[in-house]
Amino acid sequence: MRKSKSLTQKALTELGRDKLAMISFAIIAAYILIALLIQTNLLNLPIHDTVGESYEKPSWAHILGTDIFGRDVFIRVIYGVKISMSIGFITTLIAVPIGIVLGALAGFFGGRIDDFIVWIYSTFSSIPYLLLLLALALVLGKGIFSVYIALGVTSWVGICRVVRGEFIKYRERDYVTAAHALGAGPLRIIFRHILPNVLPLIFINASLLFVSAIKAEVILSYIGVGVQGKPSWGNMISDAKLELVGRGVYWQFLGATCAMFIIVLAFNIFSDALRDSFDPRISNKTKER
Amino acid sequence: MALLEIKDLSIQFSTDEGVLHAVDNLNLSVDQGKTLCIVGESGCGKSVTARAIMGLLPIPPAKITSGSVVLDTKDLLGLSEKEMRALRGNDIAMIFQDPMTSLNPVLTCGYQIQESLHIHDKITKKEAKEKALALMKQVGIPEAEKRFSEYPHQFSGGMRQRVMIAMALSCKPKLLIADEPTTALDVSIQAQILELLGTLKKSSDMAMIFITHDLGVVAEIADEIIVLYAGTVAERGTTKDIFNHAAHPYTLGLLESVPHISKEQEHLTVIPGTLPDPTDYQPGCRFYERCTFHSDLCKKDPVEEEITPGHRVACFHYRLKDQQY
Amino acid sequence: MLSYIIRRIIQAIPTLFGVTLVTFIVFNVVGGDPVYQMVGKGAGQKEIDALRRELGLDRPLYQQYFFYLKQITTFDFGRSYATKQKISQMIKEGMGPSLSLAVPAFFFGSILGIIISLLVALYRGKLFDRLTVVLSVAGMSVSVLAYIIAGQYYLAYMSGLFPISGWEPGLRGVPFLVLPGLIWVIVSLGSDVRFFRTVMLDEINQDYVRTAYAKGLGKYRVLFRHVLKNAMIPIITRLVIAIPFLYTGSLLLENFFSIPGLGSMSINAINSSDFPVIKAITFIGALLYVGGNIVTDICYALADPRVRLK
Repeated sequence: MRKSKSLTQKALTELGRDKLAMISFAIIAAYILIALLIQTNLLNLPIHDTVGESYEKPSWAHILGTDIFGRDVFIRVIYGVKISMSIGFITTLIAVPIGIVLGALAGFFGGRIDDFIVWIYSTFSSIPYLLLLLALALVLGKGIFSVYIALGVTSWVGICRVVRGEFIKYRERDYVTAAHALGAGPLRIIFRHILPNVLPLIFINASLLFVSAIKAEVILSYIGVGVQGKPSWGNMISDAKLELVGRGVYWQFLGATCAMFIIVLAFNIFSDALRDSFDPRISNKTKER
Repeated sequence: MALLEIKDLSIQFSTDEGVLHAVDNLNLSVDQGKTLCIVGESGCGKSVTARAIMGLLPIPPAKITSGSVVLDTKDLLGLSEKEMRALRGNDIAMIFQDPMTSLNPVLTCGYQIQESLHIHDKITKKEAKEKALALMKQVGIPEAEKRFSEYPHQFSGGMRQRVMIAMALSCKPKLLIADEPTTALDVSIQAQILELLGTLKKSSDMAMIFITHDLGVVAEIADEIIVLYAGTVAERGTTKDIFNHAAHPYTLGLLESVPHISKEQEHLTVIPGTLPDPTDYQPGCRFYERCTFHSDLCKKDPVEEEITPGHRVACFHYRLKDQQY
Repeated sequence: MLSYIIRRIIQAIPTLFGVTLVTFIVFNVVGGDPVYQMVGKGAGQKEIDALRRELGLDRPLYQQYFFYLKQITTFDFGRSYATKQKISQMIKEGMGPSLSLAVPAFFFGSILGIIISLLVALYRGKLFDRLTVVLSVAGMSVSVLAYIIAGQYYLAYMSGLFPISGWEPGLRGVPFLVLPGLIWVIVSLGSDVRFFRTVMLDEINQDYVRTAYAKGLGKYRVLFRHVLKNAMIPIITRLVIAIPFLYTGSLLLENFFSIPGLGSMSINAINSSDFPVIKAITFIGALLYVGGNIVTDICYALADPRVRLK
């Protein structure tokens, strides 16, 4: 028998062998890099400069043409990477800790605490998501900051539910009982003994959350409660409603849609591959067959 | 003439880790009305063999690289899927290990029993139901009329396995394959199911292949026993041969790990070590690593040698051991 | 069974109470005072105070909350800030157009999704299966808005295959609903198919399927008699959970195709900060969701014989 590797190692090796997943990972990394370069001003994009006539068609000089004010659409699409990634990132940063903490408390302690947290999340999941999101973005005032908060506050439920379920499962495991018996405190058990086992699932759900935040930004921008005054993909796609009809200006729409399609697809493929490699049921099955 | 004859059967699986040799050059035969027990640890190829007979191997990744499986006069490996389907559940039936998951949870037990009758015998609904009820009584399900329309979760484990048996018997198969039918059950229920299988075997003329990892359960039911180790036959013979004159060190190990009520035992012996990696078999005896008798002789591939008529062993050392025991 | 239903209804009350709290906090506490926006610039303080009194916004928060609870229990949500119409009347009128788009689209979309996943189960691992996976993942990666804009522009505006927008009651309205319905189906198909496919493949690997094959059943019989019935349990659950959301239709589709349903109404209300309307639509949405959950559990009990014992 060969030496057995840890489950995580095994899963990561399997993931590393999946070419499609690795390409997706490279795309995600490239988008993050672009966003970081713009954020730190290392890449300074002239998003407000007029470079030509209004609505110039795509050409070699401006591969995605120009917008209504004669600004280069390609540059604005690239800038949109930063907006989208920051929305995805900050939303995740708000929602995931809330989800983990509430889910862990509910699943680990059970009883009244569990009842209370389940009540909170079943309340949130009963409210039509889009309506709550729009309403929150509206009452918080327009702008990117409201988008972060609104998305963050509405998206923790999924993670919370997953984490709670896992904690209930692990709470009864022998090694957790053993840790209890050795006098480990609840915090130590939660963070040292249980959480590491739940991390892959959290990671998968976080990447799905990232994707839905990027997609939601488009809708918020269309309704008019989204990012203001910055070239976000949502704004660019929304503008197409007016640009296509009569003028046939498709390039802004096409550029933003494609830029978004690529990153969302990469995230979808990557999280699928992640799920497959960490799901012991699926990997056993492929071996059996 | 044997009812079922397997010659030189080899089955491989292609996996991420490489080619897995599940079964290598297996020969066996079962006569009408007889019970053959295939004994071995999990992973020795016994279930794979059963599925190969049923034509239920997932191909790919499984691949039958050589051999033939002849039932009556037909080579099952050469049959089309449609011809095979007509045989399955009709001439050959199978019962599985876990009666909990092997029955469909959303269909009534009655429906599941009469389903093969529908498919294989062209009979009316009423006849099928009557026949199914008779089968349920035959396998010892009380209140058959009432339980006919109940779902599997309403049955106990032992009763579920009786449903499985009724299902398998519905078309009066010539050959019944029982794949660890008692492993998932309580010990007391195990005995009942074994007894039932024994009675059924006596009352009909069907042949049975009984697969198990537990030598303890086969004594009462087997006519012949094949001990499989790592995809090859270690030893074969009648029940008496195996229980009283076991020759292969692996068989001896298995026998010693069976608890006996009659004998007073300090503790049970366990065979040390684990199965060799099935994707990476070394030439020579596959039991080499775990065998207490191994010597340089064992680096050659062992061949089955006849000790007494019908009793064969694939070991170079059996004579030596006879002296020691 | 009846006691089970009653128990589930009682369990739903705290959730609905939570919904009233959340909506109240969002609109009356965080949202604060919509009066300034309503009266417009240059309005005098007197005017503002008068309006505030009229809307009950001058009262302490706990009184406002009790007033809101009273509205909910009587299903009388007051009047819209923007149009001054009775909200209950607006919702009644908006529901028809919303459902006329949502119900057929949902129905056809679900059936199509189930059919595709059945085919996938039959041709698992073959080209059709792979193509389905690729298409559904790719389909899910396109923005909803992109589907709507491109669909409306190319299929209605450019080619004239469908009317660009509009709505009419009765059968005359059908032509208007085809394109938005089609877009709805395409948008929902990706994730539906992916989910249904997982369910089907999960079932196909179960032990009872092996038993069914061992009986000599053909793959069609195994699929339709054995697998489908088991797979329907998670599928029904997912579908029933989606039903309550049908009542708001698709906010975006209704808005783009000028369908005067609750979706359009919500967007208009958001654009004009018409808080009572959004609050009412949100609450009724939640109410339907909670009700839908109870229906799901009942469906579960009907489809899965194992549930009845509990």
